[in-house]
Amino acid sequence: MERLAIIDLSSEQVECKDIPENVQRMYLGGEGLNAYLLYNHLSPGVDPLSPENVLIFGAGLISGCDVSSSRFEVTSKSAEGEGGFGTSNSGGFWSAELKYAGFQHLLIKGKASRPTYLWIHDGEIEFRDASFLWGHDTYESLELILDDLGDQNVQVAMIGQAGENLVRFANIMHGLKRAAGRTGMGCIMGSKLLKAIVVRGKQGLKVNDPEKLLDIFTSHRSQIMSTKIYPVISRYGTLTIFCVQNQSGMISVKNNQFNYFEEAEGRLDDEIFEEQYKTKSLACYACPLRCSHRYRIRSGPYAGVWGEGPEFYMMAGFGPAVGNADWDCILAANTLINRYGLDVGSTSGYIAWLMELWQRGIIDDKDTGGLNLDWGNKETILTLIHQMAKNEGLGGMIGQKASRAAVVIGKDSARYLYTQRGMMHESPENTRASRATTLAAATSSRGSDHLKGRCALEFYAMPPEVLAKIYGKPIASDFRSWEGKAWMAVWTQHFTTVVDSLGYCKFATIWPGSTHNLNYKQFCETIKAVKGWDVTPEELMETGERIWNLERMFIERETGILREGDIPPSVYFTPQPLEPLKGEKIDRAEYEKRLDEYYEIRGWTREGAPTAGTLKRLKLDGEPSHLL
Amino acid sequence: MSVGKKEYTLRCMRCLGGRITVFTGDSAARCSHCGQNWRISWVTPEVAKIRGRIIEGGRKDGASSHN
Repeated sequence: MERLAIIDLSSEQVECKDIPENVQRMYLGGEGLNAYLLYNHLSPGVDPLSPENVLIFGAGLISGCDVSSSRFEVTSKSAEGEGGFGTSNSGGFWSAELKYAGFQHLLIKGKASRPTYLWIHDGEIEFRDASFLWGHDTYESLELILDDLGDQNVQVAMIGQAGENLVRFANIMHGLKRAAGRTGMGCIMGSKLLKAIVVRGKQGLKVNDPEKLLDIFTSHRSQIMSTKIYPVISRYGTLTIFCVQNQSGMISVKNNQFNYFEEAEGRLDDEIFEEQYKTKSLACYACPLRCSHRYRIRSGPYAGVWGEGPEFYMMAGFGPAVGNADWDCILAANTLINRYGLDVGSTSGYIAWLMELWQRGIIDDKDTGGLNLDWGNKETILTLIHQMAKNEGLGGMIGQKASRAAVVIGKDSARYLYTQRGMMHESPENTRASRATTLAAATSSRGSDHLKGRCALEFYAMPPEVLAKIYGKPIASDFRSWEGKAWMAVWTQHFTTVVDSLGYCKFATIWPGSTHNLNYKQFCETIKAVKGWDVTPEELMETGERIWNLERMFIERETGILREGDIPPSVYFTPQPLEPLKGEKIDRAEYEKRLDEYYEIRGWTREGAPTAGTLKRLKLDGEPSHLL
Repeated sequence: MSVGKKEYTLRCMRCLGGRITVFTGDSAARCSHCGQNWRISWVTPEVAKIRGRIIEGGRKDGASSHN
């Protein structure tokens, strides 16, 4: 039986509960069960940074059991934006280790009286003084924790100085680069004076049919390794997406002013990274994809800087989005971001915004404290990162205020700030030409979320019969067409929600556009072997829908922002200036019409609220049910 | 010459629909649909990918989408 630990930092008390099977079947684990716990345990209207807020960590239902299934979810009331549904997801080794230690979910409430870290091992939970860690970055903290416990095999989820200093878009970091990013979960952790959660377990996992599970593991591993995407991802990781996005004219250049970055040609690509910087490949727990890298800068002003990553988001966010084509600077920024524990999308997005304000004369050197914010100014980019994390200067103000910084700066600054639900638009994303992706990202629970919204199969001009087979309904092959795209958005949101609740990595599934990767059928096989449940793909899809609707109920309860929060950033309604997608934009009237269609498919009102009938159909009409 | 070489198909990133056929070891290929010339690299001897565009004309900046 999987267990939940309710940890009160104020009283240093722990209560452990078995998770009832009926609750698991309704919400699985990871994102789904986190959402259930948040809706049931958080009192309405609580300030996100108050001790009354709760911070929930959840391993996936099958984390540690199947191939590529080691992800965990962190959920709370959001620190960034309008205080809505905050959630973020990370890979690595932490979730499997948490399960080996005897827990699937941790619900943390209250606030510690001093900096604290939790040491969780084989069913035991200890509160330990973290004063010696406070003020240290994540690289240093990791070493100090390993020394303190005398065990090199513990797994650590922690905050850097950004979380300690309550930067609204601080991440929770795991290891040297894994990040639970977006919505400021690191800020919530810092507000509780919780520096780290360290896990180690030797209890093993109880599964229903171990022999069958081994067969499934082997089969799924072979399936993943036989796809066309596998050799590319396992060599270059997500960096390979950069070329696709840039060449297709779907990348943000200089705060979304342009959609193709010519300066990147021959300077910024995955192969240059491999040739000049990469020192090794790395993988998450039991994953053949090994999409991560370790790197070292060998010469120049940043010589000796090393780190892990970077992902496509780093490359694009600190590349074209801020007008920079220098790999050294991107990697130096990546190391800083990870050491401080800052979110890539928001940090680069705010720097890009400030640079456009500088370009337009809305701010000058008196506002910037003497910083020159010309596009691609490397020293300024790195200085602003330092300032954000340390709460100093202009960057510090941005880190504390986030989107409310536009009120502080005033003038015409808000016009060039692209946010959704008060949260910075993911800075590299410029996918306004693709209809399903725009709709799915904009209507996602945390807002502007490519991890829920990217409908990758939309981009590949696949035959209609193939799309119909996957999605069960007609879908236009052309990504610029709206035909079938509202359904494609709904389908993708349910799929990614199930994936994040089971604990799979999306890159092992059909999500990135590989139709031969894992799908519902394989998920059902694993659940049968692990839990002994006979689950159908249709049942799993409905589970995804249930979780999605519960998150919507939370958003409605806490913010009241529904339809107006489902509109993409204003720049999506302006035409792309450069080929190959020159002139492409989202038509506002058409978008509103498709949003109506999306709500109708979901069984929501025209305002975007689930109807009573929908809640009853999904067995949500009794929430909060307090079953756990 | 493609004799003895393996064929691989890529999707053109300019017209986003046209398919480009390349043969083992090719370092460049042109899309027959839109005419874009691409730099090609090989992830493995069997798997090719587009590395970047070959710029044959001048730079084509448009006006900012914010105006």
